[in-house]
Amino acid sequence: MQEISSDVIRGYNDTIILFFLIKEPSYGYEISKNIKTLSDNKYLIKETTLYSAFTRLEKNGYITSFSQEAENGKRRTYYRITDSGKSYYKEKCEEWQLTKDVIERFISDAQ
Amino acid sequence: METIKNYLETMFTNFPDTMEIRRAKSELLSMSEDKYNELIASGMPKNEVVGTIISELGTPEELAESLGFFNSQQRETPVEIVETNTVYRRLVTLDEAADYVGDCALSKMILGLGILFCIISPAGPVLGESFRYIFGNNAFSEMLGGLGVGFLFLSTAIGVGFIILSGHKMKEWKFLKRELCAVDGETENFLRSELENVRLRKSFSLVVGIGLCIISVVPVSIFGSMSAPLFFTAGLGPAMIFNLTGLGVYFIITSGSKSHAYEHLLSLNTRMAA
Repeated sequence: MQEISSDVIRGYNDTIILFFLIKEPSYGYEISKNIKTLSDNKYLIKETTLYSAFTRLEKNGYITSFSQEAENGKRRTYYRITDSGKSYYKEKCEEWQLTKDVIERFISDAQ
Repeated sequence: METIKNYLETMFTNFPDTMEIRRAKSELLSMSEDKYNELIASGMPKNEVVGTIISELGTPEELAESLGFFNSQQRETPVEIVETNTVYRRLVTLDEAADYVGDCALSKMILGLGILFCIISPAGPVLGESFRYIFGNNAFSEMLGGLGVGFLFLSTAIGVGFIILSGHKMKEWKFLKRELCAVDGETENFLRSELENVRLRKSFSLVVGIGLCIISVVPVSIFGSMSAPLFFTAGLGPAMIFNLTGLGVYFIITSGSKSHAYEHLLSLNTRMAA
């Protein structure tokens, strides 16, 4: 099976994460699991990649983190999207529409 | 879970112990724990779970990159050029840095030995000649005297050979002086901690070296004050001056070899174009 190229998807890891955080605050493993499920196991994000995306998003003010106890008593770092994170997500979605539109013009079945 | 914890520990060994790094480690551990519990609950065999988690965690290189250190390609290719302020610098890798320090230490050791042999060479004739105070003027004393002179030439020759050899070892590192170079964050941290480690040994070596030079005259004074036989006052005592001084100088020369090398590498990043 053709594997997804990390170089291509790298620019959209932030978008993918924000997609989940727009619905509700979440934590590392839940997000990585949701990415796997929603992509039908086609995209497995590495923990290191995910963590670096969190720190980058937080540094840019797109998300904030807080600590919360889960039902089983385990403390986890949760992430919540900020208003500027929401508008950044919207921008990225528009950027992708444009990118997709442009790239698709150069994709052909003819060999 | 222990295996995963250990793997994470190893992944982080080369990073500085900062709040940021600690937070990264605990977050990665927390994510791995969640994944572990869920995969175990799904009925996957334990070994498989550990394998899956470790393979999906990412490599130390990816970790370094994600934490804002130099990326893996730059670390693996020694001749990779790093751009800093539009000046191109050749990146010195961690392995190269360790090799350089090793070569510096070896070169200084060879130089120290060379000088040691040169300094102790006069001890040969001094001691050789003095045997006639014990055995009298006969053929045996003549022979020992001759051996002493032979030692003078041999020791000087070995010394000069070593001194020439010591410079040869450093030839391949000339680029450090010629070109603008840089070390990455990980290497810099390694160098700083190593520099700290050798500091005590450096001072100790220096103290021993200076001490040996000072006490080199002690045997002569003791033999003199005890009015010992001529063999001691005119032979062994003076010979000991050369030997102890030579040894002292060896310690002094080699004392700072490693720390100089570390300091030199650490100064690379701040060096400007000539």
